Amino acid sequence: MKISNRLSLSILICILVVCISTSANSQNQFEDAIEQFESESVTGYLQPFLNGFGANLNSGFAGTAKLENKLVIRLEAVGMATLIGDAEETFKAIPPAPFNQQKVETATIFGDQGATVIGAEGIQYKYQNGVFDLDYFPLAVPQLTIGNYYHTQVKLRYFGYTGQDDVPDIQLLGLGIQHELTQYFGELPLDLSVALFYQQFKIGDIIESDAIAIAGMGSKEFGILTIYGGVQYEKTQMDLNYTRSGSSDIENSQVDLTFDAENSIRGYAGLGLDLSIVHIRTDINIGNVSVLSASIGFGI
Amino acid sequence: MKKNRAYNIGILINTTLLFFLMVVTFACEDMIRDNFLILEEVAEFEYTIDTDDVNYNETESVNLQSIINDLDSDVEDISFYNFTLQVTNTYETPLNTEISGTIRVKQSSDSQYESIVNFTNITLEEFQTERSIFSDELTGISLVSGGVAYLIDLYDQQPAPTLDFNVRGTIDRNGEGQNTTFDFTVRVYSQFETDP
Repeated sequence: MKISNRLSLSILICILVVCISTSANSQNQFEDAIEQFESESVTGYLQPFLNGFGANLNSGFAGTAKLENKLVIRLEAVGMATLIGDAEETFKAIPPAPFNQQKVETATIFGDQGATVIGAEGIQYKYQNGVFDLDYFPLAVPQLTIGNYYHTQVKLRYFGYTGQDDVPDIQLLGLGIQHELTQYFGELPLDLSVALFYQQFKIGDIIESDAIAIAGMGSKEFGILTIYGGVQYEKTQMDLNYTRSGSSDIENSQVDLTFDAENSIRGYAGLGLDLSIVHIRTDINIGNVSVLSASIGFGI
Repeated sequence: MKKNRAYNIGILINTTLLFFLMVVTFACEDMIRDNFLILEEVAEFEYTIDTDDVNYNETESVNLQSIINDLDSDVEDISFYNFTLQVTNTYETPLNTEISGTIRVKQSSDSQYESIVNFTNITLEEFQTERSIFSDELTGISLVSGGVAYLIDLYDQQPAPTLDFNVRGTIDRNGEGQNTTFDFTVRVYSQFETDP
């Protein structure tokens, strides 16, 4: 097991490094694009990103609700994706003074070309263009599950990247705890458990995000197959703190705000397959934002 | 036997995760739009007017090319979207002191200025708030026909020129004091379309 765990860990690190390095330009472009916005418009530009990111981040924890008192150590690669539709590509913003203060439709970070507003004497204001061209918004994280003691298991998520050149520092820290309830009820047609998850994600100096989720889940085993489902309450916040590009000496150039993702309640259902030391799960999550999640894990 | 089993497990893990690696890499590769990034800059000129005369006349320059160089990106287009005036320091000068004048612009290599905006009998107190020349909230500020279009053309020039902004006018002290000192700040809010 030690050999296999070492191998998995090395490959997981490799996955993260490749993903970050292939999107190195996007990270820089991402921060540069945000820093052009004043506080009134930046939330609209980033809202679909936070919705997708928060929904992704709060996914992939689910699985069996049955937590027998036995040793469980499992390392998983968890992948999630939210669908990006037309509604996520535009938002309405009020142009800056001295332009007409009527809302215009322009691109979000998932959109294409930003709107151009024409003002007096032919002056023009161009809204920021979109950065990401996605039909779905993916996220992949490593997850370590340790348990089960007193019908309880702990899930950990972590990765850290120290910024170099144009790529900012990136850090994810997540902690979850799941407790089985079936033991308190005796014979039930399915296993039940509750769970609490907290995650913190930082990108560079300007973005910090916190996500918390409380879930109730049930599952039923059929040999190596597990059917599971549940409901989850969640809250994801993003803190933005930056100085608007090129205007450090100007009044109101400092942006410091917090805004919430629009997801709060979701229902989910999924299938798990336990093949000795290989564990595969996939589930669909329905809420304000729909998420598909899949994982492959190794361990006992 | 145990070693072989561990080896097989290792191969299984490697193969699966390498497949995952390929999927993740593919997903990351195609996710960036080929769009320009719009960067904003504010060019700010502070004219310190310190005179016991009725007239004042000061000039400041901005080198657009040096702003482009500082951006460290390939700039495809430059434009400006706001032009503001503000008195940022009045020192001991009475706030009811009225100023009138004209903001003019020219390319540094040219000899003739083009007027952009006139302002008439505006108190220092009224100018303590940043005022856009395109806003009608303060009477006494009037655009000069063709002046803004001229400035738009200057911003469109390739290579980006050095521009001289001149402010000149008169001071009405309302019979108070002799010397007048204040800082008059002109800001040009610009956008640079860059190829990231």
